[in-house]
Amino acid sequence: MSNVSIIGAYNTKFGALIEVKDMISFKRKIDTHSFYDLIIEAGRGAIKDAGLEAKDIDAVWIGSCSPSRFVNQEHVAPIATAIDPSFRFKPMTRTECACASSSVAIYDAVYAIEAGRYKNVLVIGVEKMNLLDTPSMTATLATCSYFPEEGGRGATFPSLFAELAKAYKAHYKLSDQELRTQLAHVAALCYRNAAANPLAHVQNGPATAEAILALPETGRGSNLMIAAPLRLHDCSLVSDGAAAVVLTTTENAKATRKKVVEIAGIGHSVEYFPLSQRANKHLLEAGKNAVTKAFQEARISTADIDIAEVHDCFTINQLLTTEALGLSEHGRAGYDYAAGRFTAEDKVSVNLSGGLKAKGHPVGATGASMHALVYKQLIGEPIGLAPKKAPTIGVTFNVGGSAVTNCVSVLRRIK
Amino acid sequence: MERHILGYKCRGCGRVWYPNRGVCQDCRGIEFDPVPLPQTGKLLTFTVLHNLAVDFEVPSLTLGIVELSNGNRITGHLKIDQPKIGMKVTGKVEPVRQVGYQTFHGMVFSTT
Repeated sequence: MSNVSIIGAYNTKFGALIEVKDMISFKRKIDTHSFYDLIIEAGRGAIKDAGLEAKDIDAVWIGSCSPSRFVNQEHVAPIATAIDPSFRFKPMTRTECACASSSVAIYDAVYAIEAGRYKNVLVIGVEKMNLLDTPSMTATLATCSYFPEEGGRGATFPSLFAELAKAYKAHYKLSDQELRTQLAHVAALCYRNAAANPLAHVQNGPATAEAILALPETGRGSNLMIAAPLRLHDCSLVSDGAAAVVLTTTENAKATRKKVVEIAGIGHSVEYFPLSQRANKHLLEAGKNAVTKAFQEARISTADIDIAEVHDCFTINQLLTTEALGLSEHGRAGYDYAAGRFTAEDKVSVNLSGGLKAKGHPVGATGASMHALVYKQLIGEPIGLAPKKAPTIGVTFNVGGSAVTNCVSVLRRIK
Repeated sequence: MERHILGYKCRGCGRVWYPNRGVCQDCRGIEFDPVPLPQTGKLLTFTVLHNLAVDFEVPSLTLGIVELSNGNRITGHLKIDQPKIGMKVTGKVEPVRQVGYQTFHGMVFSTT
C-alpha cells in the first residue's frame, strides 16, 4: 500500500480547442486555448480544489506525450512556473510514456512522496493535438510505436490495435459481424456516458449500437473503415485538454481532510515493445501483470471494484482491459457489453466519464484525467454520471503505445 | 494591415506582461486585456548567429533583446549593420520564419 493520497483534482474541458478560419486555399487554425493555458488552468484548478495555496506545493510533475511535434515545445515542466509567482525555484519534471505519460508522472510523484522528499506534489497531464493536420497528428502518434519496425514502416495506431482486434476475433472465433456489433456496444456506452459529462469532447454521439451499425460505409457522417476491423467509431478522439491532481502523504491527508482517497496500489508493467514479439495478442499479458501488482498491493480482488476508467483508445482495448481487470471472463467482455453491462446502474460501472472514445483523448492528459475523475467520484462529487451506489474503490487502467506501458491504479476512499 | 505584437495588461493591477504569462506574477490576476506593445526601445544585448536552424536561408542572423519604452523586454531580429548596446531601436512586426504554409511573425528592429 502506498502512503500517498489524492487531495485535489481538476479537469479542463476536453475538445478541439481551436477556431478554424477558412482562407479558401487552406484552413488556418487559431489556438483558442493554448498548451500553456491548459497547464495553468489545470494546475491552478487542482491546487484550489485541494484547498492549498500554491506556496504549499513542494514539486511539480507534468506528463505530456509529444509537445515537440504538436506545439514545437519541449522542456515542458518549466511552463508550470507561470502557475503562481511562488512556483519559481521549485523542482519540476516532465515525464513521457506515450498515452500513459501522466499516469507515470503520478507514479513518480508517489515515489518522491514515499521517499520522504516532498509532502505536497502537483501532477499535471496535458496535450494540445488539434493544431496539427490529421496526417501530421497520425505521424506524431506513430512515433510512440517501435519506430524501426512499426511507425517507420507506415504503421499507425489504428493499424496496431487492428492487429489486436484481429487476434481477438480469431482466438475467440468471432465472425466479422459479431465483433463489429460488440465494439459498437462499447462505443455506444461511452457516447451515452459522455452525454452527461460537461467536460467531454463529444456529447451527442450515437447512443445505441444499432445507430452506429446503421451508419453508411462512406460519405459524410459515415462509419468508415480506418484499419480493418476498426472503424471511425472504434477510434478515440483527437483532443486538447489537461487534468491535474494534488498528492500528499496519507498521514497528512487524514489529519487535515474530511474526505481522503488513498492510492491503495499501483501496477506499472511494460510489455515487449514491438507488437510482433508478442505471442498472445488476444489478451493484455502485461496489462494483467499490472492489474495483479496493483490488486496485491491494495489487497483487493476484482469483486471489490465499484468503478473503473479504462483505456479505450480503440474499442477493442476496452474489451481487453475489461478482461484484464477480471470484470469479464476472457473472450466474454464483448458479450457482456452487448448485454448492457457496466453502465451506471450495474454493480461495476466502466468509463462513466465517456472514456477516451467520447470524453476525449488528449494523450498526455489521459492518465491524470482518469485519476482526477475517479477521485471526484469517490469523494461524492462526480463530474457527469454517478453510479447507483456510492463507490469506495475505483480503478484506473491507462495504457501507453500498443498496450506496451500498462499503468493500473487502485484508488480507495478511506475517510 | 499593420500587425502588432501584443502585451497582456492585467485587469487587477494594470501591469503589462510580455510574453503572456497566463497569471499575473505581481497580483496573481488571471484576466488580461491585450494591448499593442510600443515599438521603440533600447537594445540591451545582441548575438550574431552564423550557424542557423532549418528554415532560415540567410548567411547570418542578428538577434537582440530590446527593452521597450514601457519596460517589457522582447527578443527580435536586428536589421542593423553595426549594433551597439544601449542604442535606440524601432521595431516592426514582420514574417521571421516560414514553415510550409505556416508563417511565424516576430519583431524586427532597425535604427530608423
